[in-house]
Amino acid sequence: MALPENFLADVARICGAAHLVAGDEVRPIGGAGYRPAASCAPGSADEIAEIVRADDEYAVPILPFGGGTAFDYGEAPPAEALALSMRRLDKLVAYEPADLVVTAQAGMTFGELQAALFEHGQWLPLDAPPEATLGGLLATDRSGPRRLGYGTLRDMLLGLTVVNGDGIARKSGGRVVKNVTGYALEKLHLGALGTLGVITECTFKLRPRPETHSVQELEAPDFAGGFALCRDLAKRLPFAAASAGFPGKPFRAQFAVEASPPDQARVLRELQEAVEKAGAGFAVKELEAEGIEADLAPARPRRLQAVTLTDGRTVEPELAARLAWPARAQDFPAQMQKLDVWAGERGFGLLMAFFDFPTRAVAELYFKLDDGAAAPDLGAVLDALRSEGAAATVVWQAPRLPRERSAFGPPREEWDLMRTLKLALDPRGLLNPGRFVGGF
Amino acid sequence: MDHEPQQPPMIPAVLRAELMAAVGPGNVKVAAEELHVYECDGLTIDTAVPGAVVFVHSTEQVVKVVKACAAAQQPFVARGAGTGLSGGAVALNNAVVIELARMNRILELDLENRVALVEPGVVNLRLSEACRSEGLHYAPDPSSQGSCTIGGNVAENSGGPHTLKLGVTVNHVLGLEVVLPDGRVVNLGGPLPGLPGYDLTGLFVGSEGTFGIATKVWVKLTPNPEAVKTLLAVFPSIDAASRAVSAIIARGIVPAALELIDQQVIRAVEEWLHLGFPTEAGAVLLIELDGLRDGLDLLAGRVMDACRSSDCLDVRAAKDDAERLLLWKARKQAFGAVGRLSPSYYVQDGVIPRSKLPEVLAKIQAAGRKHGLTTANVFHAGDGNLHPLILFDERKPEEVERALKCNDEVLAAVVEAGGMLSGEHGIGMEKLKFMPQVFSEDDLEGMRRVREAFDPNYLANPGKAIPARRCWEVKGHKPPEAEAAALPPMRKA
Repeated sequence: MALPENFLADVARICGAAHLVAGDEVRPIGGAGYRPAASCAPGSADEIAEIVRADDEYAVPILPFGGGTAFDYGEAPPAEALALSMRRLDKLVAYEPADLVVTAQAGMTFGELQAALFEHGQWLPLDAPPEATLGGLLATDRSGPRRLGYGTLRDMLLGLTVVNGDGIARKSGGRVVKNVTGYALEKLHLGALGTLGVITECTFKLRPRPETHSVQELEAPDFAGGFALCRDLAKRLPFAAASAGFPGKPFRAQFAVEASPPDQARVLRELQEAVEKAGAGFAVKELEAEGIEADLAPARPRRLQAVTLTDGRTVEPELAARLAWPARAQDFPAQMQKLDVWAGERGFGLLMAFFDFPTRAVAELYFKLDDGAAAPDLGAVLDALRSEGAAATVVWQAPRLPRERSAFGPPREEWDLMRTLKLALDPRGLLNPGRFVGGF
Repeated sequence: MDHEPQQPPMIPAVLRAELMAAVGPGNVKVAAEELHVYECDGLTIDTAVPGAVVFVHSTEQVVKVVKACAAAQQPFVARGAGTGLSGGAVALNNAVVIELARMNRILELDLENRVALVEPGVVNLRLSEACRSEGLHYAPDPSSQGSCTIGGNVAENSGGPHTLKLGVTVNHVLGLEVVLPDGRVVNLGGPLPGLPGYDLTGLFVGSEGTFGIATKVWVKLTPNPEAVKTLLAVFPSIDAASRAVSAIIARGIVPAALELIDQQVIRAVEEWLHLGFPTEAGAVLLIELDGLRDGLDLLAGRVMDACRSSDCLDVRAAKDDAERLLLWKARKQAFGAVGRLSPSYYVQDGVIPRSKLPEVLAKIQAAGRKHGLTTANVFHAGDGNLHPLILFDERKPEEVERALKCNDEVLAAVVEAGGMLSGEHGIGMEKLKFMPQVFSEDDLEGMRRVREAFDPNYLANPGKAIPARRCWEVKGHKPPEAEAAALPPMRKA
């Protein structure tokens, strides 16, 4: 089935026929190879607004996408939809290094932005793939291990311009680092998968680049001993990142030190002393970093479809989930053991669970279906993850796994309020419909 | 404060009875002399007498009170310590004031995981005191932190000197229990990050009480720094001091706090407290650096270089904790000191890109001169968050007019520099009329839609934060009763 001819004609008129493809020519997006009915690449926020307004008559689902690195996040995309590539909105709008603030169009890639900032000794301290777009990072609220030292996008985002579902461009926030002028609508779009508006422009608070950078890898003879030592270190010393993986055979944790030279010397010295004091089997060494701009590999996968284990092997997970756990951080190892057994009994092997020190009972989990496992009971595994109050969000599942449960879990009471907000800002349900919590 | 004789506004007898049933008769104030105490917050220029004041002690009581108000279509206003500076807690349209100061328990203090669950009436500083022995504190530190409440901080997304490095209230609030304007209780976010759904916590913080009432707040606790160094830099002029601010930021240094105090304020503080500040200086910068002790000297050296490159007359570090506390005392008491200079003053709260500080400060001085008024500055320079004080005598109506005109020009300069109307005090009612200068009608219309998703009948703190709907006829909406009836704030002179 194709999209309404009249709508496609409107889109071609608005963004130019050269920027619209339909049918077999459309390139698949994301790790699961989703193929939309048509794909367009508007050249401005005005064109996006006009497309959304034209769609009022047809109600064709509109799916904004950037680098496609996290397109699989959320519920399955609708069968018939217009994909909206943001890649032509790739300009730096305003950058005043003296203010430590930058405004860019949402289709600019993270790599492009960082390159511009590096020239002035500044950066957006986020772990993300360079090919991801800024809009995509915001819509999926991407973060990595550096959230320990620098916070998440929520702490960096100052202002946003979006095109809401009524085809009207609206801005919120500003270009100042502190602001209580009007409602903070920009926060609503973080992690919202573009369901309230197509993000077209964003303003971030920046940081100066640290003077030194070092990634240290700590090894421990067993998980419990390593976990306790890492937790203690991360509570005492200011790391930019501190994370490890479970099952972690061998146990390895990565610590990023990004500080002035005297501070760095102090932290490295204490790290060394702590390891020596811990005794046999404990060791720490410097990792060859690929430069400060690199993801903290091997601490986290750059793509959801490939994860590097602590023993150095790279494997393709079939299920990736983000977990927020009600357990206290100190109970984390025991909870992990339990989960490992649970999943194993249901045909899923837990490849790796990544988590941060010192306090976060939150983890990214990667599973692979056991060889020869017949009918994986995906629902039971998700239910197990969600037992005891944990909120588990599926961020990737291989196409061969059945989508029998929601990626976001059973409805939560506050989703009613969220639905009201969705109706307020996308009354026709045009933007990424059915892909977010509660089916909106 | 003197008053015009004023009839107390009445709330319906049925509502009054329901409020008394909800919280007990002793917790409902309806007598004129009691209500007048609640006619304003820290911004004394805007006043309105509430229809009633209700003291609540639990979420259940808040629900009952809100439901009673909703049934009677009676607007209500949540109030903590009443230290706000934008008129946010003023009860327009006879609103019922829901006083949360007695919901002041710290419910959970999980030091191991560095989170706390508190009731909205907990005083900001009390939370830091409660975890000090464990080496933790609650980071947002408004000047009023000895009396302001966490609930009020949530409403205004409050800042403070140390939010330069650590972030404002929203960066430290993890979740909320909220009573919506129809009496429903919802939990937004929580102690764990990463719950699926929209970031309603981030939206709620700073919504100035217009989305409902927060009855529990999950907050992050922050480790105390290992070492602190506080510098005092003295400048011949406010222009030189503000250039030094830009020089520090431009060198990639983000201090823990970076405050500017101008000559007017220095003199006022000296006259009162005799702390030994240089009264001949045009301005001083109070610069706090913190972190590991190892790197502090290096950092301090760089900050001193940046100051010297901006014509600094003298820069030195506080030699001990006693001197450090003295410097901070001057900063925290600054508003009080200025209060001794003048019968009234107006505190503005604009925020601008940091590189525009010299330009905008010059315009503020010019506006004061033009209207024959003294202006004084004591503010969070590192954030670009201005707090110009306009001194006037509220007993002289003509001087009040001049002060308001001067204030308009200050805000115009802020907007022209690409700034915003409020950094940490909120829009309240005093800055509503300026909102169309920084947001389009479409932007504001979007904000109203969001407000109506929480509060379709405009019962929660009506007439605040965003301007009322103007084009309701065109859009085919009926004007919400409360909003349509909103009275202009009463100006007291």
